[in-house]
Amino acid sequence: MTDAGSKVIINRKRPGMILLLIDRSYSMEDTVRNDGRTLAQMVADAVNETLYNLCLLCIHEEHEGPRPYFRVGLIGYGMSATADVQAVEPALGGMLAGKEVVTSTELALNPIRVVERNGGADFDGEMISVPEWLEPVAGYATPMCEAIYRAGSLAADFCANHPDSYPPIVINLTDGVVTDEPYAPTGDQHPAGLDEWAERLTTLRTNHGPLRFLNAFVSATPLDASWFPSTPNGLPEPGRRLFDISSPLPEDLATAAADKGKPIGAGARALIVNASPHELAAFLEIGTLDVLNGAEYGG
Amino acid sequence: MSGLIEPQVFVTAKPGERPESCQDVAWFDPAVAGGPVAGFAVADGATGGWDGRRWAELVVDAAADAIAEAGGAIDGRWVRAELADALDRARETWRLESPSSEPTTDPVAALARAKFKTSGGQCTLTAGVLWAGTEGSWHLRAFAVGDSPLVHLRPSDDGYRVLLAAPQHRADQFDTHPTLISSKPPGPGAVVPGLSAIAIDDLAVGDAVLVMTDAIAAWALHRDEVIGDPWGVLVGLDHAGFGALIDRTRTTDEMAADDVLLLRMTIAAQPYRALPTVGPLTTPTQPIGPGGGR
Repeated sequence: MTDAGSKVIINRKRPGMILLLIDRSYSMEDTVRNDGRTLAQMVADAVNETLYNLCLLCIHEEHEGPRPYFRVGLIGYGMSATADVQAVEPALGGMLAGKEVVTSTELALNPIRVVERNGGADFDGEMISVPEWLEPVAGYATPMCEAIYRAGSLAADFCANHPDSYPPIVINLTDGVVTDEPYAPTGDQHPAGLDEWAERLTTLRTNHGPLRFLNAFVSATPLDASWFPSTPNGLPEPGRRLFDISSPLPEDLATAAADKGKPIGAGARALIVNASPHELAAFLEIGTLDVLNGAEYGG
Repeated sequence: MSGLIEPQVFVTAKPGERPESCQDVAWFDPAVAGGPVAGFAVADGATGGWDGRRWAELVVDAAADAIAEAGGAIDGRWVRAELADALDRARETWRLESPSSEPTTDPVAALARAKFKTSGGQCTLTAGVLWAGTEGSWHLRAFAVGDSPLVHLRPSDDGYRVLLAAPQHRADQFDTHPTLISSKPPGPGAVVPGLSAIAIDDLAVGDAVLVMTDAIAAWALHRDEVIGDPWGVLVGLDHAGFGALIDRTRTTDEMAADDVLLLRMTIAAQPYRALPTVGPLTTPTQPIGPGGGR
């Protein structure tokens, strides 16, 4: 399951890291066909659900509260959440505004709101209270390179400080084409394109293997989603570029995907193209909770 | 009755954890319901669920009650009757202790309720009885769910040899998804899913019976397979030695950084004397030996 060949342990000393890159470009205002939500709202809902489930993984007793099993970062790129400008910025709001990475404890304690909703079958149809962390935002262009660069900085720090942890999981949620390449951070004289920034990102690793870089292309007119494609041929734009930058599917992720009934071919990449709202939620679940399901938690 | 069961419980929490957070729980009663049968139980609460320690306490309590109700006579009928009823009562207690279901703006309360409802509690259980036979040997009957195995040891020329290890007898049989007793009611017809029965009829003076939670059991079985007899070390442990063993094997990554519990029951040759009960609710700030009370 891992390069180290040993059991994955997630605890306070060996936390996991999850970074979500959230496209906030203008086109995220488009309304999803047969759904009624904007793409930005669809992504925010899926991200909120993922964060909620991550927090559930981390809580074992009410008086103790959630444990810091994870480092979590949300990076928005496109419209700023606080001003009418383009920005690449931390996307958590409320008490966590401006923080690039927080522990799962900080995350759980500081949602932007707690909403009531029907809990479904698990709760016998009762209403439940559910925290939310992310607001939908849309506007301006798609500075994806800078977002990947920022993710790389955070992930590099994490890998250096937690070499025995499960490798960082970075998931890019986008509906568009990169608009900021070639990109060079301030003070850097060597601009690079999307592929190079992604390559730099995916060379990061812990003793348990390379960073996992997943990409989800969402569409306002989702048709025939391509799950974990093995070839870029036939993918709608920008599918080919997203294919190229996505991690080859590691064994544990392939297992998690297969367990959810997603056929995995040779050379499959950590990518979904044309995800509907339901499929986006499932993709995030496979890429985070399912892939970490075999880990041993505690301590 | 000849001989004496000398029980010792060694327990410690995960590294860096508060002792009271330890989710491994044990019980031993040298005279169940004042009779000639000794009872024991070990449970290992699952970290991934809700309040694994509390559920492990309730399940060990349930096993102790069920053994007492049957006067120490446990068999398949006991599983379906006394044990099943006692586990149902444990589930009801668990339900009554549930987090509030009122609407809340407190995110921790919201998460607590959801985790309680969706995950519940899970734990292993290995519970049984020991008694002296008229022919001089001792007998054991036990039932086990999950990966807290029981090991029967006999002294040999070069240490101890394993006469029985069950349900697990190899180190590679431990994984992170053992069958567990859940706070959620089992499905129709599945009174206690995944139950293994253990019977020993040739326990002799000098033998030891160990019941171990997964970390130390996996360590011991692996060492037995690869290096050689770990059993003499475990049979000879005192509390200081237990602490040193755990520290050393965790440092070298030989033992998983998990809660650890070892219940050791030795058939000794001394004349019978009354021993106090080891209770499941004893907070393991120190290794538990004979003492405390249920």
